[in-house]
Amino acid sequence: MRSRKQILIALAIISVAGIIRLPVEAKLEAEIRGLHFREGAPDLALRDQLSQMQFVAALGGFRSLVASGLDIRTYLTLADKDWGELEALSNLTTTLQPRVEKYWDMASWHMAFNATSHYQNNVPDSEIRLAIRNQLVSSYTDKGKAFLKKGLTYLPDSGELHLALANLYRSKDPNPPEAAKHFRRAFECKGNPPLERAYAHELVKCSEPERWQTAYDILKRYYDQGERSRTPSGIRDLKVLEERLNIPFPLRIREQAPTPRR
Amino acid sequence: MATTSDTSGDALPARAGHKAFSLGRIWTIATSTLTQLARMKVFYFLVVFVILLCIAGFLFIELSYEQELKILKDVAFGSMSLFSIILAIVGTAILIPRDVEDRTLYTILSKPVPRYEYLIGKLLGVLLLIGISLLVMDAIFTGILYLRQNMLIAEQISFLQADGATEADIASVRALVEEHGARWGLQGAVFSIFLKAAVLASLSLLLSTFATSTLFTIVVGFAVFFIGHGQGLARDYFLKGAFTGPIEKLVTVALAIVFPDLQLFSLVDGVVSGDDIPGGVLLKVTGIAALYIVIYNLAAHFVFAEKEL
Repeated sequence: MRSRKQILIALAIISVAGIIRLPVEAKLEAEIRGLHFREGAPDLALRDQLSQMQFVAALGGFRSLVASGLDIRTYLTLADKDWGELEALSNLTTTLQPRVEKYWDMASWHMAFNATSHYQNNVPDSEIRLAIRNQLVSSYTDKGKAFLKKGLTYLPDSGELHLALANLYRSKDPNPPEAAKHFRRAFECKGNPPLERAYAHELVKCSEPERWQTAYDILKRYYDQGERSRTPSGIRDLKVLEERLNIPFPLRIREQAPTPRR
Repeated sequence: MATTSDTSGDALPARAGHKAFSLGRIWTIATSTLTQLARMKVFYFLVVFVILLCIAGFLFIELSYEQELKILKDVAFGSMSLFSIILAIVGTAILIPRDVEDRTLYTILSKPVPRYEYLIGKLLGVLLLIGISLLVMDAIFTGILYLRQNMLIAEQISFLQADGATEADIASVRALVEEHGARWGLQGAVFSIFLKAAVLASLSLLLSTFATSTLFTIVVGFAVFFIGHGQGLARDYFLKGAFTGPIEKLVTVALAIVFPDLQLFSLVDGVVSGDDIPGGVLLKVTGIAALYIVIYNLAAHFVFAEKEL
């Protein structure tokens, strides 16, 4: 009886302290989340996708470790070319740790480059009809884009993700205005000069004259910096832009446009 | 001046010069607890830790450097968390029953040692064990991470030099790898692991003051561990969810009041992703941990002070 009373007193102490600490903890939790330092509690929807052990581990504070384990499984699945499984695993890793840019980058790369290359080059015509092949290539390219776009909602200032999306729009799903936009953002985030030149090269492919002027200004600025900044593609595009923008002859560069490769 | 010996239930006349609270006595109990736990060969887990780190650090060499270093950090922090939680819950759960079994408890309490000093000393002993273990694991981890990071930098530089890269390119790649490698910010994560273990140890000590068996303390300790981590999920689902009734909300609030929110101490994920825990946040989290420790110790004292041994 005496010990029960003591336990009740202990419970009362814990409860009173609990009432006092709850608002303090809520404020601290909001601060930690506001700093993007911690993601919200694992979503219940995750329970359907993770094994019981993985869910318990993620819930028990081992979220990053579970994500790394799934990342290794993604890598192993790549060898089997099981693109559906790979997509599901990529979805899990990115859901568990949406602020790790490499997960978005790799997920997009597997979808937009590895899976599309597989269907374009490794599956013989006898196994797949051309229409289905094209549809699969287009579908996996879109999935790759979707991963990067979703990643950018969590990491809007990720130079790597902007660069990956720009490359995708340049090579897999040509769209010069979009490619230019993301090369520019990548340059703003990373400050790497070749990214600004890539931005200019994409602007050259656009149809609006005001974009050509921006491209000309950028490429000319690099050209004027000296020999080391004069790339063959820069000279080629400057020649094109001088014609398009009717740049006066005295202001035009002296180099000849490089001969296109055969 | 005659004072009464503290709260052991039987008010005994204290000897002249006897202090009601002595850090010296607490330290003696703490160091003997540390020795007692160390003799149980708990440090053998460090061998397992080194094996795990070697596997994580040198097995996945076909991945990108970010992924490789992330896996190494995840395995290291995951192992540190796991070992410190086990030490906190199991190590603390066995202390009082073992002292009763060995009759050490009676020897200590027959001397003018207040029961709260005994409890604080025991807790401090476990915290010392967890602290030393984490320091050793941290040193091993940092060493391996630094080694792997330098190997990766050398690898990247050799690729770049073969491609005729400039000094600026090499410096930028070095900086990129270093960003994912050993840095001071990682120590914040180790400290947050220690804080979580400290809260769990004090909770386990409270449980063991009224538990009928060691197994009960361990099972309940781990149950509280999972409830403590699931609180955020319960709050999001029941308090913010549209389809929950007043009873579910009431239960969720009751759980939040009684059980600790251990997710507050789960700051490792952000550190692994490359963020550093801001000093202010670390200070506040330390304050919350200290509050839990004080509350659980106070509650443990109330139960233990009247306990018939």
